[in-house]
Amino acid sequence: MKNITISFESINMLFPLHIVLDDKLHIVSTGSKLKRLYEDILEGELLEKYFIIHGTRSFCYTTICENTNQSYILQLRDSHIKLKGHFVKQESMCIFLCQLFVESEEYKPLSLKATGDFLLNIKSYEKKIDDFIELKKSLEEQAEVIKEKERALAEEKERSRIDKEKHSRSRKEIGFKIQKALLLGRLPKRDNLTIEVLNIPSQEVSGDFYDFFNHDTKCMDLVIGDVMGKGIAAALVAAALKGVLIRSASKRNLTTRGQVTPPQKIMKMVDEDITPELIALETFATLSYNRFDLFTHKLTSVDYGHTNILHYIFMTEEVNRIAGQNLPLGVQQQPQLEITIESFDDNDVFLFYSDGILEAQNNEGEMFGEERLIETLKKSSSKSSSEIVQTIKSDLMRFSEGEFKDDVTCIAVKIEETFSQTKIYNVMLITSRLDELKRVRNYITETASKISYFQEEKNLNDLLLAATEVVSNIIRHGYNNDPGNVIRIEVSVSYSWIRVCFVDKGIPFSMANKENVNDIQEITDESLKEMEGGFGLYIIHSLVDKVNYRRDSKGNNYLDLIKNFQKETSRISSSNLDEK
Amino acid sequence: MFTTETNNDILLITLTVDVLDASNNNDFKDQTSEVVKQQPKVLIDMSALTFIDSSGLGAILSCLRNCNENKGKLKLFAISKTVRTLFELVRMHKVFDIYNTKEEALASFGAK
Repeated sequence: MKNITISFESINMLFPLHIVLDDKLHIVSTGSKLKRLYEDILEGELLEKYFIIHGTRSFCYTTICENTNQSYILQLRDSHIKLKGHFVKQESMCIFLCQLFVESEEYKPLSLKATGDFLLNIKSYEKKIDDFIELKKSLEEQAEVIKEKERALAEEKERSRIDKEKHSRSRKEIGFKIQKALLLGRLPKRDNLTIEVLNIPSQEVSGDFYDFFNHDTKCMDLVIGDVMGKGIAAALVAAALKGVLIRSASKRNLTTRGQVTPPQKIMKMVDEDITPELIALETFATLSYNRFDLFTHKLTSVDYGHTNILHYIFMTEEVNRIAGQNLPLGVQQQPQLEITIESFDDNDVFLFYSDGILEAQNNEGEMFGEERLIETLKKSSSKSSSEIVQTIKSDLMRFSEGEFKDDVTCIAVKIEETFSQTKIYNVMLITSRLDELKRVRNYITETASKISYFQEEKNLNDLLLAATEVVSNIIRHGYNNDPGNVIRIEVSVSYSWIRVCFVDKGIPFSMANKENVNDIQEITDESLKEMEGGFGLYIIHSLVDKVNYRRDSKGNNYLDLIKNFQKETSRISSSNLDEK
Repeated sequence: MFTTETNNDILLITLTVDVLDASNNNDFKDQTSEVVKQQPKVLIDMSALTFIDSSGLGAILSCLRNCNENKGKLKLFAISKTVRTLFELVRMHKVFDIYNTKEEALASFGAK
């Protein structure tokens, strides 16, 4: 390099990124642009504090001075900014004359040309540096903006997801609220029957509905139905249908003699009213209108293609399926309505339900079905209506693992004996002595002979004989002939049966268990002659309709003898009852 | 509980209680077991009996077995409807010789 003299100002103008170092490589001063680019650089500090030196291994004042042709690249620490230039020795100092070194395509520094308008070049060079600083800033800002935007976007997405969820939940909730308010009836409080409803809504509002109409203490109507399809449309049709039902079943329509309008008449009104509309809407509904008459102990049902009613009969421990014959509502006007009449008595249970319960599926695609429902009803029949409903719910949940495609509606109605027809007569206490047997028979005779059935000698004798066998069994086997004990006897009479209950604290033995009974029919006449005993249980089971045994936690044994005295056919089906 | 009389070689037992159940079946068993040993032909007049249970039936069965052990015969007559119900229920009418009247029963023993 030749010696040329240029002023410091000119150096700054030509190389605004220059660095002046002393012979110990401390920074003496820097160019104005470098100061702007990197404000932290302090004069007096070592160059290597701020820069990484590329291009040489031994970097010291002497080598710099000796290799003035060597170009160096200085990179700002913690930055991608690189400066490329040469060192020029100046007295006991050296100056790094440099320009920005950018490897990216985005920025190409002007090469300094010795020719042309030198000042213009310098200006444009300066501008380039400014541009670069601007670019860097704007790039950083842009990155920040993008980050910010991404954050905002994510937030927005999350917000909208929550909103959507809230919205759909609130829509669903509104739907269910409407359904609950309009379609599902309020449970009536009655003494003589207890009612419990199970309603599991599916994902969508549906056309399931039910309601109760209390006419008087002895008469209550229950209606349950399902409008085809799902969603708001089905729910609206159901609401309209229910409106018509309420109007038709209301007290305004009582006949003048103070009799409640028969169900088939109510349904005839409903049918005439709504069938044309249902046909116009091209929809239909299944429905079952039921009247519980606790005076006559009969259930009158008008069915429109709804699911079978299940009737658990306490006396026989069997379940009757009450099936209807009419077409669903909305198929066509039905001038002749078929009705079914089912007799019932205390402790019987009725189940009314939507097909959602039968069609609930397990993960193998198998349906819950009527048989399972019947089994569940049988096993829970001795419990309260709410426990029955809970048992059905848990059986159903276990079966379908909580997945329901359709609404599940199930109504259990239990005929309660406590406040119904059943009367409990005076309780009798006897001591555990066999000479008390006569007193037991007198007590039962006194109560039973109020019932015309037992005014017939044979009928009464059957009951007395069974009771005698029970008491003598308790005394001889339960109490081992120890005369110091007590047996309590209660007689209750319902609409169709009498029950004699024996309570003792003796050795538990189930006289109800059929396995303990000798079947006399299987024994030969010759062997019969040799028998010392063992007839008792056979006699008991032959003479009464039902034998129940249970033992409570206090060690009380309860044995029930139940005899039905209303042996009539329990079911009638007719279409002409309303013509009377 | 009962009275006895002997007509020719036939022992007639006439029940005087209206009930034969677990409260008195053992008395009947004990008392008859002595008297039936004396005569091979035994008749029981059941007309007074209005109620019998399985224990009472057991007592009469035991009486029948005692007779048979002595190579004797036991016949019953004048059984009320309700008592007969139980006899039929446990097929005792197949085990016992039952007659409607005393005359018929006596005639079956070949007596007048």
